[in-house]
Amino acid sequence: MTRRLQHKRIEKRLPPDWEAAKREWAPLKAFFAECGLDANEAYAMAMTASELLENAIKYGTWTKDDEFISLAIEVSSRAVVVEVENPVVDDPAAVRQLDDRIQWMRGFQSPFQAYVERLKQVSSQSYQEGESGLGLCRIAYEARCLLDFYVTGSGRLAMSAVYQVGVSLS
Amino acid sequence: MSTTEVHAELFDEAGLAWPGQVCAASALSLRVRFAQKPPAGSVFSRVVLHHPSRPLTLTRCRLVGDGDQLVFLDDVYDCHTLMEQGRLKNLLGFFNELPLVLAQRNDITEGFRGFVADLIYDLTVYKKFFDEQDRAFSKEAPHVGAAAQEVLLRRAGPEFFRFLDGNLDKLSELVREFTSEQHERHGYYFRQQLWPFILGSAFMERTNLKPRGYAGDATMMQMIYDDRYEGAWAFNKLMHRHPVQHPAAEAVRNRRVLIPRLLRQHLDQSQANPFRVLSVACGPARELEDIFQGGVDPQRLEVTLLDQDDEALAAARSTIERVGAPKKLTLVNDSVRTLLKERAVADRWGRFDFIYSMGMFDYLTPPVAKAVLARLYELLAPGGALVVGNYHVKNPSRFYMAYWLDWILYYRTEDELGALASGLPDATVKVGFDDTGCQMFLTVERGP
Repeated sequence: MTRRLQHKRIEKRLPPDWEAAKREWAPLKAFFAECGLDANEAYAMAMTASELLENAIKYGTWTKDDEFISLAIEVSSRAVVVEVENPVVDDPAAVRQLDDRIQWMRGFQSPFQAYVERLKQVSSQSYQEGESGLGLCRIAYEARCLLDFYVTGSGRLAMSAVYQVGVSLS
Repeated sequence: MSTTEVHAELFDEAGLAWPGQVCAASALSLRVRFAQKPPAGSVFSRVVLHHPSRPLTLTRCRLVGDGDQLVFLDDVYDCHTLMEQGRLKNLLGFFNELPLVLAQRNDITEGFRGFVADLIYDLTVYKKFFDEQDRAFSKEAPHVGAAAQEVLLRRAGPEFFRFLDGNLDKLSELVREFTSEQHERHGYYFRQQLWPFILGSAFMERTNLKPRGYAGDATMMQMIYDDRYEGAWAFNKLMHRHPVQHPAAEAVRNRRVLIPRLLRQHLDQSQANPFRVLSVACGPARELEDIFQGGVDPQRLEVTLLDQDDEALAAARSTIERVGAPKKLTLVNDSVRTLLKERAVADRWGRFDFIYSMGMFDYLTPPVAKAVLARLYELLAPGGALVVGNYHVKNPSRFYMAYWLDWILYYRTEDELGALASGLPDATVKVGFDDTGCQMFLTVERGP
């Protein structure tokens, strides 16, 4: 049951545009496969990375030309970590909401349950775009990742997804 | 009750518009003041509501009551939300998603299905037995009934606990080799099936519903510290008490003793005065009772307590008020995920001689845990110590917590916990265990 994955790490700087994010998809999928993830896992992790990149483009604060997204991926024997960092405005209320939402979502053993609970709330009302929080639930559920974040010393938002490889507990 | 009144047009089945002013009559109905009253019992095929936020179209409805109350015929709207916020909240909206939930029972192993069915049967038998006794006791004077229930708990309780333990062993045996995906799916199935029994336990109800938005809130910690029966009926008392006696809960009680011991060791060896202490994700901070009542001079201590939950801080404040004041007390309502964004946080807060965080790192994934630990280390004074708790991958209550309590932790091995501190300059790193073996302590000391 326990697989040994190759320990590898890549780091990249990307401009905040959709085309650049899209170009990452195929090479990332190949990278995950090279490290020893199976086809489904490699697909799911490439999807997770793209979703996080899309979120960074959508919700990052892009005021200056030289601002960028940092993407770091680390594969080790027990976990695959995708981390995406982008500049954000100092908006304590928004970050607090993200914090609460991530903790709420992580509070369920089953990401499906979090997804369904969120769906229950969302399907009964008409939300403005971006406020539903369903996207994060879907990443957690479909890619089976644990999402987490922190704000770095330079005020950037570092959002990460962790996939625990074959967590057999014996 | 909402009072907002909004202009609307109601279109009858012939397409004729009936203008009026609409407000919520109840949670599920509206009241209309018509310019010209339509016949009693009229049916309208749609209603256009000119809500200030945006126009909204509602589906088929009929006039009832005195001819001014509207009930809906095809949808069930939350009329308060509708009028106050201008949002269409259809209470039946989730019905369309039910097939998704129903499909979750696919891919459940036969062994697990059988286990759950037997468990439900047995729990039902026990519950009936206990409830029947309680019904008989309730006919007695309260002091007689209470005495009889005490006998019941003392005589039948241990046997019932053995039954629950046996089932936890079976559960572990069945799921030990599951992948994380299988755990999630089977856990969801398990809780759907066992839901009425879960709600019968005050502790399990809270860990499942998480009213503060996360597991391990101050009330849950208090229940673990109290370790006593809760609820009126014997069955509920037992279902509450069993999980708060399990090893993981024992480990929570252990750390309440261990932290004061470590703090005192460092205090005795330190020349610092004041000796500055920071507790991160402090919860009710009950360990402070042991610190303050253990012969430590409170005037030598400056204590800063940090928690994201204001209810936890209120509980911590009442702990402090009970045990006596330190030289200085600071309460900070913030989350570690955002708190450390300031580079200059050490300038603002000063440095600490002892920093500890007991119930937090189990919720942080590696990148976040590593970043938070590094920032906490920066806040450490020379010669100071940082102590962090984390449950071990071999926590014997792991499946109990995951399946029954819906309480998920980020478990670590000794190496993984130690690795969080790798690369910290001038640091001495140790990993130790508590008596239950459930919980590890990472100690990071900064050189003098």
